[in-house]
Amino acid sequence: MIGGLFIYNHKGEVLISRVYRDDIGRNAVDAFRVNVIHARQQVRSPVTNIARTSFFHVKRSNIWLAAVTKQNVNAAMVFEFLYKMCDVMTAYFGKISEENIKNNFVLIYELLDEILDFGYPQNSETGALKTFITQTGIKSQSKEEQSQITSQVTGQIGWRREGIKYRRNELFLDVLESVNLLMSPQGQVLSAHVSGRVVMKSYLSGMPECKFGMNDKIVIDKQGKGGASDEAGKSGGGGGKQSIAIDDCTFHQCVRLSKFDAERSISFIPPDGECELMRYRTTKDIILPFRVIPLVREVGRTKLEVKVVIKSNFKPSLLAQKIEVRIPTPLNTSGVQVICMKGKAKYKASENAIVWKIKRMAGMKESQISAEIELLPTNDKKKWARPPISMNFEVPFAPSGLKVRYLKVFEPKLNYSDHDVIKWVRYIGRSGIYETRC
Amino acid sequence: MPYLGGDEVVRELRRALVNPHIQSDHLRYRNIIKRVIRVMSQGVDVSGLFSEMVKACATVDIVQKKLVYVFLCSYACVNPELSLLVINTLTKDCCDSNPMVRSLALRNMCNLRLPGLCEYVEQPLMVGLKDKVACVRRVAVLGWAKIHALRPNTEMDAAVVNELYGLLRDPDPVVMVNCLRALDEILQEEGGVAINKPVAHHLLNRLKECDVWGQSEVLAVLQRYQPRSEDELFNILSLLDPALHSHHAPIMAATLRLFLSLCSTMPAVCLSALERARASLLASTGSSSRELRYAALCHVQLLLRSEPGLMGDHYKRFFCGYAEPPYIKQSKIQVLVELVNDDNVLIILDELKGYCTDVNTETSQAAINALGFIGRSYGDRCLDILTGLLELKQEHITSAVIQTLRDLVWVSPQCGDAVCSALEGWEDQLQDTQGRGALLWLLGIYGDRSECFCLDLLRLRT
Repeated sequence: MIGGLFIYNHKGEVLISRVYRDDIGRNAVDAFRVNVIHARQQVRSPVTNIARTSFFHVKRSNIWLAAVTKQNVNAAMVFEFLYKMCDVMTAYFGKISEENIKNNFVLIYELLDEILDFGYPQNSETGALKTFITQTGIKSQSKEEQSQITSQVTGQIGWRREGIKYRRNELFLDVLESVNLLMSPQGQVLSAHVSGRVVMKSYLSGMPECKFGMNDKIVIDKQGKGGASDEAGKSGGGGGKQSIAIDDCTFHQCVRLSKFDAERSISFIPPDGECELMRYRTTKDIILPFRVIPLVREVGRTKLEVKVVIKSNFKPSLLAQKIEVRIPTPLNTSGVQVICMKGKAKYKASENAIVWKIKRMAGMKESQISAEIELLPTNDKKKWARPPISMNFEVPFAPSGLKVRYLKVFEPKLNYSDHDVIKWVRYIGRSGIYETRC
Repeated sequence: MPYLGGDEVVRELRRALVNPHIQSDHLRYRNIIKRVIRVMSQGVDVSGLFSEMVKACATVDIVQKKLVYVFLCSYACVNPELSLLVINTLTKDCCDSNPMVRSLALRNMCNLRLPGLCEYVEQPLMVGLKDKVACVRRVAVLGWAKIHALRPNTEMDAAVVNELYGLLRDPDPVVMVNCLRALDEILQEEGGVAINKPVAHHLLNRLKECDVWGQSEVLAVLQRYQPRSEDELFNILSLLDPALHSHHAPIMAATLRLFLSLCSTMPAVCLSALERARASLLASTGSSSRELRYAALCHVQLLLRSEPGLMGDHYKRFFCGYAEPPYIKQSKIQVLVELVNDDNVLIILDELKGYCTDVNTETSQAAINALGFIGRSYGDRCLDILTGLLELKQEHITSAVIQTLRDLVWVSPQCGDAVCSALEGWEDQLQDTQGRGALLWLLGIYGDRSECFCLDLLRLRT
């Protein structure tokens, strides 16, 4: 398995080094530095093979994390482990930077000991780790605390401890989606997909059972078939309301998969605090929040006329925010004049693009920008390969169409019921790679 | 970097460590030890402080213990005799009432990596295997693997091996997975841990309780198991089906590998397994992290070699985004080449034409080579595109195009005429040896077809 783990800063100096197996020698540290960090060419791939040793690396801001092994390991697992390592470190001390690593190196050595024993990944749930690796050190504990910690580390419900109490029981649900689009110049969707995560912050007492329902197509079809003879009062079955077909989804460890397989219902005992409940992807029936219509006209060899119209495609009552449209310009641009009614547009020469920012835009509206780009005359007959127009935005609905239908909480032992819990649901749809070719 | 001041720092630290005032103040003592470790991380040789650190080991402060153990594990091989002094403390800690302390002590006893200490370590390890608390058992199991790694030639006690096999039935899933790993290492000469029917069924039943790492490990180990009957085989496949769609890339990859090896004698089942896994594979190729995307693309490339028709309709997923890193673009281009067929050749050629003018020279060269590959079956269209590229008069593109044309002519001489007519007049552009060599070769073959060529040849020599 993983023979060694090294963390370097941007200069190639070793910040943390931990060797687990004897087959990794001291020269592995230098080999990685010379061949990857200080290599003259751009990095070729995240996996490098030097002298029968494989180096897997991940870069976070300007810190390099490298895992070294001489055996034939599951590559995806090593990367997943490196990501988990980054997540755990971020959960403890925030951003991963040289400063933070140097200040917390004791903690990191402790973590490396615990998470990766003999090169094999062990328990890496942040919640469980935080109970017994704290930054201030553990003082001698009472017997009950000890047994609580070990039962959490080793017990049935490893993600939640007993005896949690809150005065106000609250539950926040965030549906965070990222919509990706690639559109052809003719307006045809080349590829589109939405990847989303449901993040839950729960501040509930005791060990509550929760049930989460959404407008999943399969559930609604089942209800529609079963309730065909029922009155229309059964919330319009499959016909009226919109349902989404999820391509694939994965859940947090706490969700009972057997129930999901049987009846497609998501029931779980949530971990305390923040956790990612599920992750999913859809590719069908995506609501594309914006439609970008570009029009480029070359006037002779010294001018380019660009007109871009963006149409917002959602309910008029909703507002999209932080909208930014990037229109790339050729390298030999000498000057740009832009006219736009809404928002502010600026030509940024360093990025070779016109950046048009609109603070807010309601649904079913249109905005337009026209620009005249003056070009320096060149001898190059090379035609400018137009890079696509990209957009960034944030919308308060889920582009996949996912809606939370219900979220119920049952705690039989303590005396609060589902009605006493304060629940908040929030939909945030962000743009991922949202490009329109022109 | 304090390489120069190394000796002084060590002397100062030694003075601080033996100072009784500091020793009585817990916090200051711990801070000094932290400094020792920091200095050690920076590369200074602090092995001279070994005896002082050994004394620091006897403390109730867990954080301080951990720090001292980090130091000892790095330098124990240099000072084997002094390490014996630590063993007493460690053995005492192995019987401590706090399970955290027990597991810490066990783990570090094994991390000391001194063959001479093995006899002292074995007894606490045996006790650890039977401990009530799971985290101690986890450490004990891996401890046996470490001991074996230290003494690869000696036989492992049969009682230990039996005990480890027994622990496969442990209620804690991490202990079970650690046992698999330890047995694999210990029984390496015999081909690893023996998976028979009861063990395999037990592992399959408990697969869902394990976390991501555990599941990948179990799936890898199950490859050795041969089911006895077809019924059993299909039962296993249906049990593992949900894992094929897992969003965790390692689990999906391991399950796919297991399926393919189990069904190697039944191609139809293989094919249906690949089709089911296709969705998750495609999802990983669109994953937000570059490294997983790259790993997934490598998987797809491997699979396409054995099953070319697998990704047929999904070629659009492999179109490159503008800002992707070059290694991903190059992998995607290679995949696109394999997916060409009559229906989609025009669209793919259009896409590749766009990539030929990519900013990164290697990517554009890869795209041009890909065009050459496709040109073997769809000659004329590719030739049109290639000649169009020549008009751009970009040096690296022209050079790559000429080399591609040479390869094309080598494989399919019938497009020789078209190539000739395209070549006239481009020799000024080439500066690099590869391109010029290719042009020379082409001239050599087709020099008789056109008079201008002979003149060109003379010009090239000068």
